[in-house]
Amino acid sequence: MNDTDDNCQMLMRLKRYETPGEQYFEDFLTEFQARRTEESSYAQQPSPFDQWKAKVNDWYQELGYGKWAVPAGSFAAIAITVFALAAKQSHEASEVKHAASGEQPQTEEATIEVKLPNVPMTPGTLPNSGSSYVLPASTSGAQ
Amino acid sequence: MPALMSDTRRKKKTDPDLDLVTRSQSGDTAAFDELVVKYSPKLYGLIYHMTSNREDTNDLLQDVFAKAYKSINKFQGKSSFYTWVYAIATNMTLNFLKKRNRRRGMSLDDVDSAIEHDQEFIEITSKSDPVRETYIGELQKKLNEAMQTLSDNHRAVVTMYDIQGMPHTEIAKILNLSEGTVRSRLFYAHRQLQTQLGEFWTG
Repeated sequence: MNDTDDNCQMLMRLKRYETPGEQYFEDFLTEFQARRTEESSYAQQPSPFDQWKAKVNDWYQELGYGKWAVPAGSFAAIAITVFALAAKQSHEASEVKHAASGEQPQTEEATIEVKLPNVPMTPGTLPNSGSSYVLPASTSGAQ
Repeated sequence: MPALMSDTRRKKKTDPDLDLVTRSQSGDTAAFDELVVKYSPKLYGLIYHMTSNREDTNDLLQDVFAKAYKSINKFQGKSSFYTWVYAIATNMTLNFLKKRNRRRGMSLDDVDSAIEHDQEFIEITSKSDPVRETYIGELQKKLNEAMQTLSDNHRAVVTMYDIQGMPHTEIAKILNLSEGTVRSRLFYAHRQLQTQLGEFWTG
Protein backbone atom coordinates (compact mmCIF):
# COMPACT_ATOMS: atom_id res chain seq x y z
CA MET A 1 0.00 0.00 0.00
CA ASN A 2 1.52 3.36 -1.01
CA ASP A 3 1.24 6.81 0.58
CA THR A 4 -1.78 7.76 -1.52
CA ASP A 5 -3.71 4.73 -0.32
CA ASP A 6 -2.64 5.34 3.27
CA ASN A 7 -3.68 8.97 3.16
CA CYS A 8 -7.00 8.15 1.51
CA GLN A 9 -7.75 5.56 4.09
CA MET A 10 -6.82 7.84 6.98
CA LEU A 11 -9.02 10.63 5.72
CA MET A 12 -11.91 8.45 4.74
CA ARG A 13 -11.96 6.66 8.04
CA LEU A 14 -12.96 9.98 9.60
CA LYS A 15 -16.33 9.52 7.96
CA ARG A 16 -17.05 6.71 10.40
CA TYR A 17 -18.06 9.39 12.86
CA GLU A 18 -20.99 10.44 10.75
CA THR A 19 -23.38 8.27 12.70
CA PRO A 20 -26.93 9.10 13.73
CA GLY A 21 -26.56 7.97 17.36
CA GLU A 22 -27.92 5.09 19.40
CA GLN A 23 -31.43 6.51 19.74
CA TYR A 24 -31.83 6.37 15.96
CA PHE A 25 -31.17 2.63 15.92
CA GLU A 26 -33.65 2.00 18.74
CA ASP A 27 -36.28 3.93 16.80
CA PHE A 28 -35.25 2.14 13.64
CA LEU A 29 -35.94 -1.25 15.17
CA THR A 30 -39.35 -0.10 16.42
CA GLU A 31 -40.15 1.22 12.95
CA PHE A 32 -39.03 -2.04 11.36
CA GLN A 33 -41.12 -4.13 13.75
CA ALA A 34 -44.20 -2.01 12.99
CA ARG A 35 -43.61 -2.39 9.27
CA ARG A 36 -43.17 -6.15 9.56
CA THR A 37 -46.42 -6.48 11.54
CA GLU A 38 -48.27 -4.35 9.02
CA GLU A 39 -46.91 -6.26 6.04
CA SER A 40 -47.63 -9.67 7.56
CA SER A 41 -51.22 -8.70 8.41
CA TYR A 42 -51.64 -7.28 4.92
CA ALA A 43 -50.25 -10.47 3.39
CA GLN A 44 -52.70 -12.57 5.41
CA GLN A 45 -55.70 -10.45 4.43
CA PRO A 46 -57.50 -11.98 1.42
CA SER A 47 -58.23 -9.93 -1.68
CA PRO A 48 -61.79 -8.57 -2.27
CA PHE A 49 -62.36 -11.27 -4.90
CA ASP A 50 -61.34 -14.01 -2.47
CA GLN A 51 -63.61 -12.53 0.18
CA TRP A 52 -66.56 -12.53 -2.26
CA LYS A 53 -65.76 -16.11 -3.30
CA ALA A 54 -65.69 -17.20 0.34
CA LYS A 55 -69.04 -15.55 1.02
CA VAL A 56 -70.64 -17.27 -1.97
CA ASN A 57 -69.14 -20.58 -0.90
CA ASP A 58 -70.45 -20.19 2.67
CA TRP A 59 -73.92 -19.33 1.42
CA TYR A 60 -73.86 -22.33 -0.92
CA GLN A 61 -72.75 -24.71 1.82
CA GLU A 62 -75.52 -23.50 4.12
CA LEU A 63 -78.14 -24.53 1.60
CA GLY A 64 -77.73 -28.23 2.47
CA TYR A 65 -79.43 -30.70 0.11
CA GLY A 66 -81.31 -27.84 -1.51
CA LYS A 67 -78.04 -26.63 -2.97
CA TRP A 68 -78.51 -28.95 -5.95
CA ALA A 69 -81.70 -27.07 -6.81
CA VAL A 70 -79.65 -23.99 -7.53
CA PRO A 71 -77.57 -25.36 -10.40
CA ALA A 72 -80.51 -27.40 -11.69
CA GLY A 73 -82.79 -24.36 -11.63
CA SER A 74 -80.12 -22.22 -13.23
CA PHE A 75 -79.61 -24.80 -15.97
CA ALA A 76 -83.36 -25.06 -16.60
CA ALA A 77 -83.74 -21.28 -16.74
CA ILE A 78 -80.89 -21.01 -19.23
CA ALA A 79 -82.26 -23.88 -21.37
CA ILE A 80 -85.74 -22.34 -21.47
CA THR A 81 -84.35 -18.95 -22.37
CA VAL A 82 -82.25 -20.41 -25.19
CA PHE A 83 -85.18 -22.44 -26.52
CA ALA A 84 -87.53 -19.44 -26.40
CA LEU A 85 -85.03 -17.24 -28.19
CA ALA A 86 -84.46 -19.87 -30.88
CA ALA A 87 -88.21 -20.31 -31.43
CA LYS A 88 -88.72 -16.57 -31.65
CA GLN A 89 -85.95 -16.23 -34.21
CA SER A 90 -87.37 -19.09 -36.27
CA HIS A 91 -90.84 -17.49 -36.24
CA GLU A 92 -89.48 -14.14 -37.30
CA ALA A 93 -87.50 -15.75 -40.13
CA SER A 94 -90.64 -17.47 -41.35
CA GLU A 95 -92.58 -14.18 -41.39
CA VAL A 96 -89.85 -12.54 -43.38
CA LYS A 97 -89.86 -15.40 -45.92
CA HIS A 98 -93.61 -15.17 -46.48
CA ALA A 99 -93.55 -11.43 -46.77
CA ALA A 100 -90.90 -11.72 -49.44
CA SER A 101 -92.94 -14.29 -51.46
CA GLY A 102 -96.24 -12.34 -51.13
CA GLU A 103 -98.08 -15.22 -49.40
CA GLN A 104 -100.14 -14.76 -46.31
CA PRO A 105 -98.68 -16.79 -43.53
CA GLN A 106 -100.99 -19.52 -42.39
CA THR A 107 -101.74 -18.58 -38.89
CA GLU A 108 -104.96 -20.56 -38.35
CA GLU A 109 -104.70 -24.21 -37.61
CA ALA A 110 -105.45 -26.41 -40.62
CA THR A 111 -108.25 -28.92 -40.09
CA ILE A 112 -109.18 -32.16 -41.78
CA GLU A 113 -112.45 -33.95 -41.62
CA VAL A 114 -112.26 -37.70 -41.16
CA LYS A 115 -115.26 -39.91 -41.72
CA LEU A 116 -115.32 -42.81 -39.34
CA PRO A 117 -117.05 -46.01 -40.49
CA ASN A 118 -120.51 -46.52 -39.08
CA VAL A 119 -119.59 -49.33 -36.76
CA PRO A 120 -121.92 -50.21 -33.93
CA MET A 121 -120.29 -49.27 -30.70
CA THR A 122 -120.76 -50.90 -27.42
CA PRO A 123 -121.28 -48.90 -24.30
CA GLY A 124 -118.00 -47.85 -22.80
CA THR A 125 -116.35 -47.25 -26.11
CA LEU A 126 -116.22 -44.04 -28.03
CA PRO A 127 -119.25 -41.84 -27.56
CA ASN A 128 -121.16 -40.39 -30.52
CA SER A 129 -120.16 -43.23 -32.81
CA GLY A 130 -120.92 -42.59 -36.42
CA SER A 131 -120.39 -38.89 -36.08
CA SER A 132 -117.46 -37.17 -37.54
CA TYR A 133 -114.55 -35.97 -35.47
CA VAL A 134 -112.54 -33.00 -36.25
CA LEU A 135 -108.91 -33.77 -35.65
CA PRO A 136 -106.16 -31.26 -35.75
CA ALA A 137 -103.86 -31.63 -38.71
CA SER A 138 -100.80 -32.09 -36.54
CA THR A 139 -102.17 -35.28 -34.98
CA SER A 140 -103.12 -36.83 -38.31
CA GLY A 141 -99.83 -36.22 -40.02
CA ALA A 142 -101.60 -34.57 -43.01
CA GLN A 143 -100.95 -31.06 -44.24
CA MET B 1 -23.34 -38.61 8.60
CA PRO B 2 -20.02 -37.67 10.26
CA ALA B 3 -19.17 -35.59 7.21
CA LEU B 4 -22.47 -33.76 7.57
CA MET B 5 -21.81 -33.13 11.24
CA SER B 6 -18.35 -31.78 10.62
CA ASP B 7 -19.76 -29.57 7.86
CA THR B 8 -22.35 -28.21 10.25
CA ARG B 9 -19.70 -27.59 12.88
CA ARG B 10 -17.58 -25.75 10.34
CA LYS B 11 -20.52 -23.54 9.36
CA LYS B 12 -21.23 -22.77 12.99
CA LYS B 13 -17.61 -21.86 13.46
CA THR B 14 -17.44 -19.62 10.42
CA ASP B 15 -20.82 -17.96 10.71
CA PRO B 16 -21.53 -16.63 14.19
CA ASP B 17 -25.06 -15.74 13.11
CA LEU B 18 -26.09 -19.25 12.12
CA ASP B 19 -28.15 -19.81 15.26
CA LEU B 20 -30.02 -16.53 14.85
CA VAL B 21 -30.55 -17.23 11.18
CA THR B 22 -31.90 -20.73 11.85
CA ARG B 23 -34.30 -19.39 14.45
CA SER B 24 -35.38 -16.63 12.08
CA GLN B 25 -36.04 -19.21 9.39
CA SER B 26 -38.32 -21.07 11.77
CA GLY B 27 -40.34 -17.89 12.32
CA ASP B 28 -38.68 -16.45 15.42
CA THR B 29 -39.05 -12.70 14.85
CA ALA B 30 -37.06 -11.88 17.99
CA ALA B 31 -34.05 -13.67 16.50
CA PHE B 32 -34.31 -11.60 13.34
CA ASP B 33 -34.59 -8.47 15.48
CA GLU B 34 -31.24 -9.37 17.02
CA LEU B 35 -29.74 -9.51 13.56
CA VAL B 36 -31.25 -6.09 12.81
CA VAL B 37 -29.74 -4.65 15.99
CA LYS B 38 -26.38 -6.21 15.19
CA TYR B 39 -26.08 -5.10 11.58
CA SER B 40 -28.08 -1.90 11.28
CA PRO B 41 -25.18 0.40 12.32
CA LYS B 42 -22.79 -1.15 9.80
CA LEU B 43 -25.36 -1.22 7.02
CA TYR B 44 -26.41 2.31 7.86
CA GLY B 45 -22.80 3.39 7.33
CA LEU B 46 -22.57 1.54 4.03
CA ILE B 47 -25.77 3.06 2.64
CA TYR B 48 -25.19 6.52 4.06
CA HIS B 49 -21.70 6.87 2.61
CA MET B 50 -22.99 5.72 -0.75
CA THR B 51 -26.07 7.95 -0.84
CA SER B 52 -24.95 10.88 1.37
CA ASN B 53 -28.56 11.41 2.37
CA ARG B 54 -30.00 10.44 5.74
CA GLU B 55 -33.63 10.14 4.65
CA ASP B 56 -32.73 7.93 1.70
CA THR B 57 -30.51 5.90 4.01
CA ASN B 58 -33.32 5.33 6.49
CA ASP B 59 -35.77 4.27 3.78
CA LEU B 60 -33.26 2.02 2.07
CA LEU B 61 -32.18 0.41 5.32
CA GLN B 62 -35.81 -0.40 6.11
CA ASP B 63 -36.20 -1.90 2.64
CA VAL B 64 -33.00 -3.93 3.01
CA PHE B 65 -34.11 -5.57 6.26
CA ALA B 66 -37.63 -6.09 4.93
CA LYS B 67 -36.19 -7.89 1.91
CA ALA B 68 -33.80 -9.90 4.07
CA TYR B 69 -36.68 -10.93 6.34
CA LYS B 70 -38.81 -12.05 3.38
CA SER B 71 -35.89 -13.93 1.81
CA ILE B 72 -34.45 -15.45 4.97
CA ASN B 73 -35.74 -18.89 4.03
CA LYS B 74 -33.80 -18.70 0.77
CA PHE B 75 -30.56 -18.15 2.68
CA GLN B 76 -28.74 -21.49 2.40
CA GLY B 77 -25.59 -20.66 4.32
CA LYS B 78 -23.30 -20.74 1.29
CA SER B 79 -21.84 -17.46 2.57
CA SER B 80 -22.05 -15.86 5.98
CA PHE B 81 -25.22 -13.97 6.85
CA TYR B 82 -23.05 -10.85 7.09
CA THR B 83 -21.91 -11.21 3.46
CA TRP B 84 -25.43 -12.07 2.32
CA VAL B 85 -27.12 -9.08 3.92
CA TYR B 86 -24.29 -6.77 2.81
CA ALA B 87 -24.79 -7.96 -0.76
CA ILE B 88 -28.52 -7.19 -0.52
CA ALA B 89 -27.79 -3.72 0.85
CA THR B 90 -25.12 -2.95 -1.77
CA ASN B 91 -27.23 -4.10 -4.71
CA MET B 92 -30.31 -2.23 -3.52
CA THR B 93 -28.29 0.94 -2.94
CA LEU B 94 -26.60 0.75 -6.34
CA ASN B 95 -30.01 0.23 -8.01
CA PHE B 96 -31.40 3.14 -6.03
CA LEU B 97 -28.53 5.39 -7.09
CA LYS B 98 -29.06 4.49 -10.73
CA LYS B 99 -32.67 5.65 -10.52
CA ARG B 100 -32.12 8.65 -8.35
CA ASN B 101 -31.23 11.96 -9.85
CA ARG B 102 -27.90 12.87 -8.54
CA ARG B 103 -28.28 15.24 -5.62
CA ARG B 104 -24.89 16.72 -5.11
CA GLY B 105 -23.65 19.26 -2.63
CA MET B 106 -25.93 18.26 0.21
CA SER B 107 -25.25 19.71 3.61
CA LEU B 108 -23.81 17.29 6.08
CA ASP B 109 -25.28 16.56 9.43
CA ASP B 110 -23.40 17.42 12.56
CA VAL B 111 -20.27 15.43 13.02
CA ASP B 112 -19.98 13.22 16.04
CA SER B 113 -17.84 14.93 18.64
CA ALA B 114 -15.86 11.72 19.12
CA ILE B 115 -13.88 12.62 16.03
CA GLU B 116 -11.84 15.04 18.15
CA HIS B 117 -10.47 12.10 20.15
CA ASP B 118 -9.73 9.91 17.17
CA GLN B 119 -6.06 8.98 17.00
CA GLU B 120 -5.95 9.24 13.22
CA PHE B 121 -7.58 12.65 13.29
CA ILE B 122 -5.09 13.89 15.89
CA GLU B 123 -2.28 12.49 13.80
CA ILE B 124 -3.46 14.25 10.68
CA THR B 125 -4.02 17.56 12.40
CA SER B 126 -0.60 17.47 14.01
CA LYS B 127 1.18 16.82 10.72
CA SER B 128 -0.70 18.92 8.26
CA ASP B 129 -1.00 22.67 8.57
CA PRO B 130 -4.02 23.10 6.27
CA VAL B 131 -5.95 20.49 8.21
CA ARG B 132 -5.05 22.06 11.55
CA GLU B 133 -6.60 25.28 10.40
CA THR B 134 -9.68 23.64 9.04
CA TYR B 135 -12.77 23.19 11.08
CA ILE B 136 -14.00 19.67 11.52
CA GLY B 137 -17.23 20.42 9.71
CA GLU B 138 -15.35 21.78 6.74
CA LEU B 139 -13.17 18.70 6.55
CA GLN B 140 -16.19 16.48 6.63
CA LYS B 141 -17.76 18.56 3.89
CA LYS B 142 -14.64 18.21 1.75
CA LEU B 143 -14.57 14.47 2.29
CA ASN B 144 -18.20 14.18 1.32
CA GLU B 145 -17.73 16.29 -1.79
CA ALA B 146 -14.77 14.15 -2.77
CA MET B 147 -16.82 11.02 -2.32
CA GLN B 148 -19.55 12.43 -4.54
CA THR B 149 -17.10 12.87 -7.41
CA LEU B 150 -16.63 9.09 -7.52
CA SER B 151 -18.82 6.78 -9.57
CA ASP B 152 -21.32 4.67 -7.63
CA ASN B 153 -19.21 1.52 -8.03
CA HIS B 154 -15.99 3.23 -6.93
CA ARG B 155 -17.78 4.85 -3.98
CA ALA B 156 -19.05 1.44 -2.88
CA VAL B 157 -15.52 0.05 -2.82
CA VAL B 158 -14.10 3.08 -1.00
CA THR B 159 -16.91 2.90 1.55
CA MET B 160 -16.31 -0.75 2.31
CA TYR B 161 -12.51 -0.68 2.25
CA ASP B 162 -11.46 2.76 3.49
CA ILE B 163 -14.34 3.69 5.75
CA GLN B 164 -15.54 0.36 7.03
CA GLY B 165 -12.20 -1.43 6.96
CA MET B 166 -13.36 -4.55 5.15
CA PRO B 167 -10.75 -6.80 3.47
CA HIS B 168 -10.51 -7.08 -0.31
CA THR B 169 -11.70 -10.68 -0.29
CA GLU B 170 -14.89 -9.84 1.59
CA ILE B 171 -15.64 -6.90 -0.73
CA ALA B 172 -15.08 -9.15 -3.73
CA LYS B 173 -17.59 -11.68 -2.37
CA ILE B 174 -20.21 -9.02 -1.63
CA LEU B 175 -19.91 -7.34 -5.03
CA ASN B 176 -19.44 -10.65 -6.83
CA LEU B 177 -16.22 -9.42 -8.39
CA SER B 178 -12.67 -10.71 -8.54
CA GLU B 179 -10.26 -9.44 -5.94
CA GLY B 180 -8.22 -7.89 -8.73
CA THR B 181 -11.19 -5.82 -9.87
CA VAL B 182 -11.71 -4.59 -6.33
CA ARG B 183 -8.06 -3.55 -6.07
CA SER B 184 -8.24 -1.88 -9.46
CA ARG B 185 -11.31 0.11 -8.50
CA LEU B 186 -9.67 1.18 -5.28
CA PHE B 187 -6.58 2.29 -7.16
CA TYR B 188 -8.54 4.56 -9.52
CA ALA B 189 -10.77 5.84 -6.72
CA HIS B 190 -7.75 6.81 -4.65
CA ARG B 191 -6.18 8.62 -7.56
CA GLN B 192 -9.38 10.60 -8.01
CA LEU B 193 -9.62 11.37 -4.30
CA GLN B 194 -6.03 12.52 -4.30
CA THR B 195 -6.89 15.35 -6.67
CA GLN B 196 -9.80 16.38 -4.46
CA LEU B 197 -8.10 16.06 -1.10
CA GLY B 198 -4.46 16.74 -1.96
CA GLU B 199 -4.30 19.69 0.40
CA PHE B 200 -4.89 17.33 3.35
CA TRP B 201 -2.17 14.91 2.39
CA THR B 202 0.35 14.03 5.10
CA GLY B 203 3.95 13.16 4.54
